[in-house]
Amino acid sequence: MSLIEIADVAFTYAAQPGVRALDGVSCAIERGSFVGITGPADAGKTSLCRLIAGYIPHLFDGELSGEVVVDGAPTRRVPVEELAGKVGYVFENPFDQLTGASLTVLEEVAFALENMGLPREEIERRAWESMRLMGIDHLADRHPMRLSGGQSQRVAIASVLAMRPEILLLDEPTSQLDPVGAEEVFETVLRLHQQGLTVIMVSQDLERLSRYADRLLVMRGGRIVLEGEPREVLGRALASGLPLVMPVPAAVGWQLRQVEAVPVSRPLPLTVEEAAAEIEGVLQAGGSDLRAVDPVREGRSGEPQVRLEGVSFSYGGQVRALEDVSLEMDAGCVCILGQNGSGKTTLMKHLNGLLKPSSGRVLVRGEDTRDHRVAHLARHVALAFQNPDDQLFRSSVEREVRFGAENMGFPPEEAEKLVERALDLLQLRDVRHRKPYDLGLSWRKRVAIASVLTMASPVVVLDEPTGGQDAEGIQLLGALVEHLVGEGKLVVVVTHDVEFAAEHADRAIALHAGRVLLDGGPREVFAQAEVLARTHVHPPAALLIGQRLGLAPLPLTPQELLAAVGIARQR
Amino acid sequence: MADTTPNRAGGLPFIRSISEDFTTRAWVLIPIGIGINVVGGYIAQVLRLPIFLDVIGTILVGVLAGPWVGALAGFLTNIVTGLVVNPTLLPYSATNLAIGLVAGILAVTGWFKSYWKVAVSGIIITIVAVVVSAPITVFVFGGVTGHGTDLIVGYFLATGNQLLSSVLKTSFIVEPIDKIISSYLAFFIARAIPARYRPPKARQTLPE
Amino acid sequence: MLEYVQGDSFLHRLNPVTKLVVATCLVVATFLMPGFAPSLVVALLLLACAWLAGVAGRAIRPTLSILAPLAIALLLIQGMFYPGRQTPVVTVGPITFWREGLLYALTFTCRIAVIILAFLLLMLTTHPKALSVALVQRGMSPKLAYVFLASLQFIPEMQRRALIISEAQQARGLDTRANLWRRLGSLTVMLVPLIAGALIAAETRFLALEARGFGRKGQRTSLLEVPDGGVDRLLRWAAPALLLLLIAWKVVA
Repeated sequence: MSLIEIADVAFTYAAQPGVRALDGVSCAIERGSFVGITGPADAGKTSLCRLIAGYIPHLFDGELSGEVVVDGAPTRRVPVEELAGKVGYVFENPFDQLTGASLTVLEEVAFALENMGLPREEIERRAWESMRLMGIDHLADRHPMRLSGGQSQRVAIASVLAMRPEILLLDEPTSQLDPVGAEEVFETVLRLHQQGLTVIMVSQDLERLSRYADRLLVMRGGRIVLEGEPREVLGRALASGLPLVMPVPAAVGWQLRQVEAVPVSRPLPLTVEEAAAEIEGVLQAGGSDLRAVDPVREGRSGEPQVRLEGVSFSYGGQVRALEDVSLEMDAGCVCILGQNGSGKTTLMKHLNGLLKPSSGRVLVRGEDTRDHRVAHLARHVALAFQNPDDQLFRSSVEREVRFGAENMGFPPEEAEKLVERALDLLQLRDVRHRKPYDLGLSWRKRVAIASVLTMASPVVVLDEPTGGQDAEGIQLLGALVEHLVGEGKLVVVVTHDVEFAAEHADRAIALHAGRVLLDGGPREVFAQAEVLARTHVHPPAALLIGQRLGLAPLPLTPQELLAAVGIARQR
Repeated sequence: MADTTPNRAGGLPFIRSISEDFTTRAWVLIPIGIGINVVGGYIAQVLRLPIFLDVIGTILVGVLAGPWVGALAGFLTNIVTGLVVNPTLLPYSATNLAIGLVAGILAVTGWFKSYWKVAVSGIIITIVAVVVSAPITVFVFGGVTGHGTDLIVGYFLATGNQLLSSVLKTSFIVEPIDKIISSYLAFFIARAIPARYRPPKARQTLPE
Repeated sequence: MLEYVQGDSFLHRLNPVTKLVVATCLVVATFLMPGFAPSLVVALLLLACAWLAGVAGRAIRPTLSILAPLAIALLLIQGMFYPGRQTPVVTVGPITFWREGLLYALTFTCRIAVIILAFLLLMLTTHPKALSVALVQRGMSPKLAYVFLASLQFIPEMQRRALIISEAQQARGLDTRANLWRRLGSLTVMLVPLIAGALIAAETRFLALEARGFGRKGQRTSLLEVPDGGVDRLLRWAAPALLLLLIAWKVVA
C-alpha cells in the first residue's frame, strides 16, 4: 500500500466559496520517493500540501469530498498534532514559520518537542541530532530571526525533523531565497531523501526540481494534469504548451527534437552537460556556424538619468555597504546582480533618495538626492519593492494602482489613462475590482508594480520582480520591461534571475562587497564566470552550454543558442 | 475540530463561547495587536499627528476576534511594555483590558458595521477609557501623567475642583479625538483585510 | 529592549515568580502605608538590592528618566494647586507652593519610584524566557507564555517593518510633510500594509505552531530549567502574608 493515497478529492475553502481549490485530485505517493509538484500560480499546489498534512479539513473550513489516507489512517480522523508527527511541513517564507518566541536556534528546534512533553534529555538529544543533520549545529546559539534566508529555512526543516516524521513536505521552500540559499536547501533535502525520507516538494525551480525528483506532478486549475518521470513530463508540458518555467537545457532539447535533429523518444536533457552533449552530436552530424546578432539599443544622448559619483555608504557608520561606486545610467534595461549583501539593495535605495550617500553624491536627472525628499525624487525614479505587502493598502486593485498617479498630482483624465495602461501592461483588467490582499502573492506583486508605473516616471526600478512568479508572470514582466525601454525609459532591475537578465538586459552590473565587480553588456559580463562566481552569480545556462561547445560569441538565451547551431525556433 | 464557532444570536452567547474564541488563530493575533499598539504611537509621531494611537491594536483585535481576545491583548500590552520598557504602564493594563472588552462587545453586537455606528462606538470607548483611567491616575500617580495635559488638570484644580473630577474633565477633553480616530482606523483596516485572514469571529462583526 | 543583565547575584538566583510576587507585594504595600517615609525607605532598600546585585548602574538612568516628568508634574501641579492646600511654604510672585501639596507630591514620587524600581529590578535580573518558564511551572497557561515571549520579539519586528513600509510608500510618492488631512489619511497607508502583512505571516505562523503541537492539551516540558529553592518558597509565602497583615492592620486602625 502506498504511504499516501488521495482518492478523488475536491475542496472549496469556506472563505472563497465558488472557487474549487481542488477539483478531483487522485494520486498515490510511495514510501521513500521524491515527488515534485509544480504548476502555475493558484493551481492548487498549496491546497494539495495542506490536504496531505491534514490542515484541510482540520484547520481550514470548507467543503471536502474524497478520501485522503496517510500511512494507513484517513486524515479526517487523525488530529493534526498526530499527523504532524508523520508529515513535516516546511513553508515558503523562512521567517514566518518560526515560532517567534525563541531566542536561540536550539530553542526553536526544541519547541515542538517541548510541546510533546518529552523529558529534557530526550529533547536535547533530538534537537542536536536534527541540527547536526541539517548542518546548523554551529548556529545553535544564534537568534533565529537574524539568520539568512537559507539558514532560516534549514532551521525550519530541523525543527520539523526533530519530530521524526516519515514525510517531508516542502511548499515552495526556495522561492524567497537567493541562489546560495536555494542551493543549500535543495542539497540538504536531497541528502535527507537519500537517507530514507519521503519527500514532497512544491517548486517553480524546475531546473533543480526535475533533476532531484523521481516523479513530477503538474497541477493546473485544481487538478493534476500531468504526472510521471520528470523528463517525460517536461516534454509533454512543452508539447501541450503548458506554461511552466522550463529549465533551459530542456527547452533547448525540445527544440532539437521538434526539428528532428534528435529523436523525440530520447529523454530530454536536464543539465548543461547533457544539453551540450546533445548539441555536439547535432553539430557533428550537420555542422553550422554561429551568427549571434546583438541588438544594440539606442541610448538617449545628453544628461544621463542617474549618475553616482564616488558613492560610499555605511549603515550606522559601521557596515560598509557601498564602497566608492561611480556609475552612469542612461536608458535601456540595466540589471544589477550580486549575492545578498553585495550592496544591490543599498545601491537601489540610493536611486530615489531613500538612502543618502555617506560620501560622494547621487544625481538624478541633474538633482542631487541629498537636497530633496523621497516624495519629490519619486517623480523621477519609481521604485517597486520586493515585498508588495509593504505597499498595498487600498480596497481594490484599480484604486491601488491609481495611488501612484494620485501622489504625483496628475489631473483625473491623465491619471485614468495611466491606470488603464498599467492595468493592461500587467494584465490586471480581470481583477481590477478585487481586493489586492485577496489575490495570491505573485498577483500582488503585479499590482504593486502597476501602481508604480502610474507615476509615469522616466526611471523605473524593480526589485526582484520575478521572484516567486510563475511562467506567465515572468513572461509578462519581460514584455513590460521591453515596453518601458521602448518608451525610452531607464529600467533598473535588481535581480537574482540570470535568465531574465540574459533575456532583457542591455547592461549588466555585478556588485561584490559594495564595489562594482563587472559592468558592461550582458554578453561580456556573463562570459566571465570565475569573476561572477565571487559574488555567487551563475551565468545563464545557454551561455554555459555555448562555452562547452566552444561557440563564439557566446549565446545568452536559448533562442540565440539554437540560432547559433543553425536551428530556427519552431512555433 | 475545524476553526469555526457557530453564530448564535440573543442572550449572552459570547460569554458562553470564551474558550471557543481562543483558537490558535486568536493566540497568534494577540502579539500582533500588542505590536500595533506600540507601533501606532510611533507612526503618529512620524506623521506628526497629535494623537496617541496606543490602543488601535487593542480595538482591532477586539473587532477581529471578540471581547475576550481583545481584552487579553489590551491587558498584555501593558504587562509586556510595563515589564520591558516602562513599569508605570503596568497599572493602566486595566484600561487597556476594558477597551478591548468593550470594543469586542460593541463589534459582536454589530456596532462596527457602519460609519455612524463606529462613531458611537468611538464615544463609548472614550467613556470607558476615561472612567477606568482616571482613578488609576489619581490613586497611583497622584493625578498626573507627565504629559503637557497635566497643566489642564492644574487649571481645574486651581478653579476649585477636586482631583478626580479635574482628571476626568481633562481626559474628556483630550481623549475623544484619539479614541474616535482609532475606532475608525480599526474599522477601515479590518475591512481592507480580506476575509481569509480574519478569524471566523470577524465574519459576524464586520460588514461584508 | 531586553534589559536583562547577566549575573550571579542573590537576586539573579531567585526564582522569577518569587521576584514577581515580592515586587507586587512591595508595591501594594507602599501604597497602603501613609506618608512618604515608608515609600522612601522601600525605594532606598530596592536601590541597595540593585547595588548588591550589581545592576545599580543600569537601574538608575531609566528610573530617573521615567520618574522625572512625573515628579516635576507632581511638584508643580500638586505643589501649587493641591485641593487641600492650607500652609504656604514658598511664594514667588503670584505663585505659591503649599506644604500639603508638596508632601502629597513627595509621597507619590516615592511610591512611583518604588513601582519603577521594583519591576525594573525584576527584569534586570530575570531573563524573559526564564520568567515565562517559571510561570508555566507554577501553573500559567503555556499559550500565555508563548504570547508574552512572542510579543517581546514582535514589537521590534513591527517597528522595523513600519520603517520599511514608510520607505516603500514614500517611494510611491507618499509625502509625510503634506497638510494635516493628508497626513491623517496616510495613517491607513501605513497601517494597512503593516497589519495585513502581519496577518499573512500570522496565517503561516498559526499553521506552523499547530504543526508543532501548540494546540495540544497535556503536559509540556521545557528545555530550560528554572530552579525553585527553599528560600523562594519562603519568600512567596511570606510576602503576601505580610501584605495581608498590613491590610488587616489598616482596616482595624
